[in-house]
Amino acid sequence: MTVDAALFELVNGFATRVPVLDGLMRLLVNDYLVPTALCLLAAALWFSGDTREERERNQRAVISMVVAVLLANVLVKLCNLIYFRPRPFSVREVNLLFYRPSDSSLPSNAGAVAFAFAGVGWQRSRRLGVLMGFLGTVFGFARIYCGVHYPLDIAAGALVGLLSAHVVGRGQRTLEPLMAGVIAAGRRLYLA
Amino acid sequence: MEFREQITIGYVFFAFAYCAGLGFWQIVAARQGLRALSWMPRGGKDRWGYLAGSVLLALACVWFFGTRTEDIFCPGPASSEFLFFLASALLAALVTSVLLSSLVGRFASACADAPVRAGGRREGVHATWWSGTLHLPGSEGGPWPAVCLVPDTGSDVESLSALAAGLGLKRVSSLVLDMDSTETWQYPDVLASVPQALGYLERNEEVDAGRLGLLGVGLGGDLAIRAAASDPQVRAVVAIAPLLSPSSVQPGLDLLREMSYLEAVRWRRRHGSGAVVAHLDALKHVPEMENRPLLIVYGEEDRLSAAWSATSFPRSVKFKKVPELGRAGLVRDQRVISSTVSWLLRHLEGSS
Repeated sequence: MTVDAALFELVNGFATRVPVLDGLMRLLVNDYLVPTALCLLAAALWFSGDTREERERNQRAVISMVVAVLLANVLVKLCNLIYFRPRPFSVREVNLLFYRPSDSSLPSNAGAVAFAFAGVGWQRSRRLGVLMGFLGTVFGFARIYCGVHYPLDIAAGALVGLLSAHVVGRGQRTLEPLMAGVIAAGRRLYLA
Repeated sequence: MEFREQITIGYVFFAFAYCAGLGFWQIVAARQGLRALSWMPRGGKDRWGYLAGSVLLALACVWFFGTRTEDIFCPGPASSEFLFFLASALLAALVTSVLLSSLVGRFASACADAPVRAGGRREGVHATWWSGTLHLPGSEGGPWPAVCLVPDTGSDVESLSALAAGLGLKRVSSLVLDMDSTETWQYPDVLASVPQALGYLERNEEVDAGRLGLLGVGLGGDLAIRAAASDPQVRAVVAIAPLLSPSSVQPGLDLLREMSYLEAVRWRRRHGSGAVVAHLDALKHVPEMENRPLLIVYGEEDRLSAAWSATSFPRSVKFKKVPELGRAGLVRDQRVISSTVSWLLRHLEGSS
């Protein structure tokens, strides 16, 4: 048995033992709670900042987050075209607490998106990065616990997300026209 | 899963995100001081905004995650659809918050804007190029010192009635210009109104022409500075929340900290997108006032003052920063009225 599978069995083995923990993990694992929380954090970042300059830096970070998430999604799709890894419940006995997704297990799309947010968040503010990273980590852990991903899938997803954030962080000059345009449009609407 | 079922989940998620969004915008409004989004009356405590927002957010989560488990644990919308539903719901919640905030603001200002009646006599004055209301402290005891009050664009004469009443109590007469209509602010015609009003005061037998002051609010403050620069008869000038720089009129989030969304749109339109501020160029004319005193009053939370706060002013210019206030409500604040009136009185009496 690989380390990945052993880790999966260790974490997933706790499922169905403690009902409260199962309830918490089912709350965290779904497609709505953590992604909504990350999007709301990004929206709050857009409006935060005491001065116009600080706010503009935050708004640039939000635009970077959107671009990083899009890039992470594209990278995950490309990986899926090259390699398909079956979900854990397709090849072994697992404690499944979630529905059966049919797409490739590796890399985790959920992990990629969450860590793309966290990566850009970290570039803007360490506190925001830690908060988003924590959400991404519990999201990823819940997906292993509930039997829909191997740990390696989450790690690969996180890597894709962080890579996207890094690429977007390095490509600020390329994104400048987009950022300037979006912020100018936001200002015209009194929303930036 | 059937397409219809997925759409149903989408609608349910939209409803959740909309309710959560309403709460979220209240929290953002409380944290960032965005009056245009807050449902709490102006001057209300932020903690009510936090409380209302947190309760709405919590209720939305309890309803969605507590009662819709069957929908949640089925394959839901793809990430693009998820983002579409979330963004639409947040936008709808934002529009709702803006509309509700405007309604609350209107209701609160309708309750608060009861006109303050100044004692003494009150006369309407109608000249060819300007009109206004003259407040005289009484029928005997003149001539009195006088202050010409210039309201902000879009504000009527009643907006300065509290200030006129405060001046009247100290036996200072005042002439409040009626500059409510946009036409009165057309440049260069606008430059004629204040000198003509001052000329009227100088000719009035009940007014002491040697003790004339000027007070302007907002763009009226810019106009007062500009007029005082070319009229040595004016002994002292007060500018309450002047704009001074065209960048003060830039559209953006800072305006939503001061006023409702619709007010912000109207405010910017009334200010001609900054063109009148640029034409008046009050900052350039401040040194021309030479050593005559100028008091600039502004609210501590006035984000628009950042546009000129770094400018170096002559030593004759004094500043008064009013804590816990932005632009709105400055002219009705008793602290502003009493300090402005006593400052004017000191400088007008001192020059007699």
